[in-house]
Amino acid sequence: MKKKVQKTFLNQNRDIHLRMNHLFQMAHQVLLSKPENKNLARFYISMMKRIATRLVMKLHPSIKRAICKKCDMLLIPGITATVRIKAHRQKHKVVQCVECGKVKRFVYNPNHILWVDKPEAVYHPQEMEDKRVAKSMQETQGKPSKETDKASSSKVT
Amino acid sequence: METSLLYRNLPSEKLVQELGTDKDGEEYIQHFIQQRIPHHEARFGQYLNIEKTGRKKLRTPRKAANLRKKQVLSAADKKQLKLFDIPEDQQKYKLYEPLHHLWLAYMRDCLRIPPISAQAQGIKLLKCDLHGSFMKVTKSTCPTYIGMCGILLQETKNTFKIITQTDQLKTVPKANCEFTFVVDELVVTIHGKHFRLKSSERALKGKIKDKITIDM
Repeated sequence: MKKKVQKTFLNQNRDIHLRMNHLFQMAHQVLLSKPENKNLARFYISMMKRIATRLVMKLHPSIKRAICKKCDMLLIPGITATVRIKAHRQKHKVVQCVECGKVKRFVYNPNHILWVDKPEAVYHPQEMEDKRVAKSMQETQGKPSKETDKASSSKVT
Repeated sequence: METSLLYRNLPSEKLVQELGTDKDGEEYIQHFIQQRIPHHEARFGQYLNIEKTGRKKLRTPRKAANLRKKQVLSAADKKQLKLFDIPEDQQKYKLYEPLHHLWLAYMRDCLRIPPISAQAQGIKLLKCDLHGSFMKVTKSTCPTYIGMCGILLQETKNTFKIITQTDQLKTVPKANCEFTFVVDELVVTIHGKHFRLKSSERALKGKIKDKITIDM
C-alpha cells in the first residue's frame, strides 16, 4: 500500500499513514472473507477518506483508482466492479461500480507518466533548503543596490 | 424400487462438510448455484429466491439527465440507501477474526517499532484506530452492557458497534461506559465519556480535556 510521502512527514505522519493503511487492508480483508459484505468495506474506505481530508494527506493514484468516488466502495474487478475495454473514440478502460453504477474511465496512453513517478516530484529537503537560503541572500543583496540607483538618478535631475 | 431408497438424507457428516450443506433436493441445488455464481448476477435470482441485487435507487424519481449529472451522493441519500448497515447474514463472529489479527499487527507496528516510552504510547493510543479490536465493557451505568465483549466493527460518534461471539451485533453507546482492550501485555482502559468523537476527529485532536469521571 503506497502513500505519497512528503517533506518531514516521513516521521511525523507515520501514525496517520499506518492508520489509513490499516483501514485499507481491513476493507480488502472484509471483501475477501465474504464478498457480500459490502457495507462494511464501504465504511472503512469512507473512514480512510475522511482521515485523509481532515489531516490533509494525499492518496496515491493506485489507491484512488480502487475507490468509487460516489459511494466510497472498494472496487475489485469481478466482485464489486465490472471492467470493460472500449475501442470507440480513444481506446479506454471502463470501470463501473456494481453498487451505484458510477463509471470511471482510463484512457490508454502509453506515454502517460503519473506525476508521482516523475523525477521532479521527488522532494529533496536539503536542495529546497539551499534554494531558499540562496533566494533570501539575493534579496538582502538586492536592496543596497536599489538605493544607490535612486541616489544617482536624483543627482542627474 | 421403493421411494424411501431413492430419497434419503445425505449419509455422513464428512460428506456434509465437503458439500457445504446438510440440505438436499431443491435446497441443495439453490445452495450450489449460490456458491458458484457471482452474487450480483441478478438474472439467476429467479432460481434462488433472492432479491434482485440491482443498482441502488434514490428516493425521489429524477429525470434521466439529472441522474447522469449526479456525481456525489448527498448525506440524505446516503442515509436513505443505508450504506453502512450490516445485513443479518453477515453478522457472524468467525468472519471477523482475521480482521482482529490485522488490527493486532497494526497495533504492534504502531506501539513497538520505534521503541517509545509509556507516556508516548499513551498519546499514540489516543490517535490510533480501534476497528478490529476485541473490546470488553468493564463498567457501565446500565447493567446489561457490563461484560459484553466482541470485535469492534464500526465506530461512530457516540457508539461502538461490536459483534459478540454469539453472532450478535450490539450497538453500545460510549457515554456511560468503560471499555478495555488488550494488546499483547498492554491493557488499555477507555472512559467512553471522553471518547465521544468521530473516529476521524480523534486522529486530529491529540488532547482530551479533563472531564470529571464518576466511578460506576
